[in-house]
This record gives sequence, structure tokens and C-alpha cells, in this order.
Amino acid sequence: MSAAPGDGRAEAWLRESAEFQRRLAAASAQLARLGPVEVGACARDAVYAEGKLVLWRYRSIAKPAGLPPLLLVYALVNRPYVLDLQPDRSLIRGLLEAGLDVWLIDWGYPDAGDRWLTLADYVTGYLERCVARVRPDGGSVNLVGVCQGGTFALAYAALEPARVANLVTMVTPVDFHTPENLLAKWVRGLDVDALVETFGNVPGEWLNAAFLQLMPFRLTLAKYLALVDAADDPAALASFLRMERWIFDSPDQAGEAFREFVVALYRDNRLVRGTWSIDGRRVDPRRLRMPILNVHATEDHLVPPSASLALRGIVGTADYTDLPVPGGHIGIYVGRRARELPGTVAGWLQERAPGRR
Amino acid sequence: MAADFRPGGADGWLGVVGAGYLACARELWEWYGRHAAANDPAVGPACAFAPAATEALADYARRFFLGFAGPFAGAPRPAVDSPPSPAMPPAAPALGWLREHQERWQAWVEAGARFGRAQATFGTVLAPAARRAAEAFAAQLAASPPPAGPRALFDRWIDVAEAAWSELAHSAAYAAAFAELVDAGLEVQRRGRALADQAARAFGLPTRVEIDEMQRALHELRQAARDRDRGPPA
Repeated sequence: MSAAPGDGRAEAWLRESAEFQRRLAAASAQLARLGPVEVGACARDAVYAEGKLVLWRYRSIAKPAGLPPLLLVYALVNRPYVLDLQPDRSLIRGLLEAGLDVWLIDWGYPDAGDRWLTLADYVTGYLERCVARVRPDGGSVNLVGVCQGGTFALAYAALEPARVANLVTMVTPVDFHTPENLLAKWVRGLDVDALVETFGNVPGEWLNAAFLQLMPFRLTLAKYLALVDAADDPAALASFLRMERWIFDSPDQAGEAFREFVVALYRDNRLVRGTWSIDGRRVDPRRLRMPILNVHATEDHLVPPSASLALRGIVGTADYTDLPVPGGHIGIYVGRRARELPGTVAGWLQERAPGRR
Repeated sequence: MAADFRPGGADGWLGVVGAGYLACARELWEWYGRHAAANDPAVGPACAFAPAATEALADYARRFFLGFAGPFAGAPRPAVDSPPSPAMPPAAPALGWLREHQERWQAWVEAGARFGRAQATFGTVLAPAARRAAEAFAAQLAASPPPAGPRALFDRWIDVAEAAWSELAHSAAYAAAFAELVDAGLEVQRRGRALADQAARAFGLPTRVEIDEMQRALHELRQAARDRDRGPPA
């Protein structure tokens, strides 16, 4: 150190760096002892499969609430098990405890054979067929879309409103051109045709790299110091590992669908403009006349609140509720405040149960 | 420049992060010790930093920002990462019976040069933000009690650096530089793949374009079968 001996600074450095190295070694040893972590807290059964997609139905753990089945539509980016990460961090468990009949679409890991899948394949294909499996009687579901899955859910509900009793969107981008939307600013300058032509399917690692660039210092350095800080807490380390496994469990994106999503929404913002078409059918948000609960995270750096809150202005329903949840994009499912969310959603659905209104 | 896919060598990612943190904290702490030496961190008041001190920190900040510029700024071509043939300078007109092959090489070399320019521009765009981070950091230290230790100093630096990065990342200049960096990297990959495709043909192997076309045909057949099963619209 260049600070003069005795002024306290050199001593402070030596003391702190020695302690840090001790904790670093302890964290490494503790992680080695932990081994691979498991994810998923709730029992479930695969009830339908098509291509890479699997439709799961979760086993009931409480007295049925008597509501229409709840179908969760997750994003294509990342894996849906973040909704059921571990027993004390599980949106799905909370929904089951409220007596809901929970189903989940797992899109799987697209490979080169899925390169030409379009948004129509996802929304009016896979999603439509999953709804048909959940309600073979032609009835409606409570549709819950998360992030990009929320955008899919909006599109599906606008195209097939009779199949959706209630719509819940969570951290869902609607207006892609609000000033806070950093990803949109970056994406608009990219040559997405060249991207898809080069990669075919867009690698999940590539997308992760882009997400890390949103907050590079926190996400690639400071975050791991928190791991070192938790060196003496195996439970905290295991939770950290589960989140880390999820964050870097990154499916590739089917090339054609990625291109369509970027052009139609990130570039042209067609959902809020009412000009988005899927499979030749216009996605008219005014056809969204079912009750809507729109959940957004107040500190979301991926889908800023303004991007989600735009939904209110474009839908046709009079029964619309905004629900701000303190936290970030992922924290609303796995953070400390997340435990209240499933109960809130279940309560909102219960108030709109058939015969209650 | 070869791409390095090792996840942190024998020490793993945590080892890399730990070493990165120690290097950063030490650099900041030394800088602080050098320029705030007149103050006792235990009892002394906050101090002002001379322009030279901020200048020194700005230089460090520039390197710090570049270090986090991410994988987009690295070499994008692990599969074809060999130096171009000096016998085929990019500017020379392609002639003779190898003309097509030479043009593929030239395009790859030119794409590499474009990527190099994009890297340089990206670094240029980062520099003012790094300087702003340094200035904000010095100003914040001058206006607040001395940090309790290196980690506290480091935490303050991350807050300031992230804020400066965010401001930069929202700028049109960054979006343009980032887009050009990505697009240039993609072109290097495509030009390299054209060379690899040529080699594949020589061995009778299918090229990427041919496989894409087969998959597209298969996708269309599946669609047609599904439409047929569904019948005409009601």
C-alpha cells in the first residue's frame, strides 16, 4: 500500500482482505459440500406433450376453491421453474394452497428443428392446444401470463376472449417504447434479420450477456460478493445457487419467433398501436373485456413499470386492476415480499368466481 | 485473439470474482490513501480531491468500464479464429480460378476489420461515462464521511459506476455503438461460416443453408398436416 504505515489504511486493507479471503475460501468449501441443488417444490404430472412443450398439472394440496383452472404461461426466455423454486419461494405452491387448480406450460429447449417456429405456432398453436387440453369441454380458463408469456397471454385472450375467464399479467411488457425501456433502445438499432440469419436460433447465452449489460457491475461482480458474505449460511448459499442455476439456464430462442417478436413489438410497438397480427388475425386489445389483474414490479429493470402500466389504456374491460409489487423483475416471485402475491391473485380470482358477481 | 471459454480455470467463477473484487478494492483503496492521506479515516473530515486525483481515478474507471463491456466486445469467432492469409490482402482484386474463394476470404478479413473499428468506437463511447463516474465518486467522497474500509469504498464505487453506466446505456451513442459492435461481430461469424461451408462442400457435408432449408420444409409440412387435420374454418 502506498499509504504511510500507521495511518490505519494499510492495516485496514490487510485486515479486510484477509477476512475476505477467509470467507471466499469458506464459501467455496461450503458450495462444494452443498453439491447440485434441486429445484421444484410441488408435485405435478405431465398431461400433454408436443414437440419440446410439456403441459404440467400440479397436484392439489388444499380444498378446491371451485374456480376455473389456472393456466400459467411463462416466457420463452429462461425456465418456468422460477415459479416453483423451493418450498418457501414458490408462487405455484401459494396458488395451490389457495385451492386453485394450477397448470403450467413448459416451452422446453428449442433446438435447430424449431428454427422456423413462428409466434402463431406459439400463440394460436401450442397455447391454444394447451387451453383445449385444460378445458376439453370448451370452457374458459384463468390465464396467467408472466413476462413475455404475459404478452402471449394478452394476444391469445384478444384472439380467443371466450376461452379466458380472467386474465392476470405479471411483469408483462405492453408498451415497448417507454423511455425507461433500455432493452428496447438497444434492440431497435440491431439488425435482427442478420442476427437470426447468423444464429438460426438465438442462443440463450447471447441473451444473457445482453441482460447482464443492463447492470454489469452489480450483476457480474457485486452480486457474488453477497454470496461470499453468506459463506457461513448454507441455506442462503443453497438459495443463491438455485437462483443462479435458474438465471443461467437459458433456452435458445426459436429464430423466426424471435425475429417476429422483436420486429412487431420491440421495433414497431404494434400491441399498443393495435396493429399486431398473429396468423393473419389482428390482436385487438379492445377485445380484452374479461377482468384483468396487471401485476408489475416497482423496481423492474427488464420490464419497467411504465411498459406494463400502458395496458390500462388499451383494453376493453371496465374491470381492470393494477397491482404494484415492491421488488425487481424476479424478486416479485422469489423475494421476501413474494409470499403475499399468490394469496392476492387467488383473492382477486375468488372475487370474480362464477356466481360471485 | 482466441476466445476463452474456460469458466475461470481451476478457481472457478467465484475465484475470478474474488480476484476481481480484491484488485478493484485495492486499487480504489490505494487511490483513496494517496489522495486523502491528509485525513484520518477514523476521525477526520471529508476531503476534497485535487483534479489530478480525479484524473487518476478516471483512468482507472475507463479500464474498469472496458473490463465489463462484456462478451460482445470480445472475439466472436472461435470456429475460424485463424489469421487471414497475408498472400490475400483485402484490397487486392480477386482474380483467377480461385476468385470466388478469395472473395470469401477478403469478405471475412474486411468483416474482422469492421469489428475492430466497432470495438474501438465502443471503447470511445465508454470513456466519458467512466470519467463522469470518477468525478461523481470523488465528489461524493468529498461530501460524506470517510469510508469505514475498502469494502465500504468499493460498494460506494459500484453504486456510482452503475449510475454512470445506466446513464450511458440509455444514450443514443451507446445504442448505436452497441448495435454496430453486435452487427459487426455477426458479420464476422457469417463470413467465417461461408468459409466453413465451402470446406464442408469439399467433404460432401451439408451446409448450414441446406440444413436450414430442410428444417423449413419440415416445418411447413407439419403446418400443412395440422391444418389438414383441423379441417376448413367453420
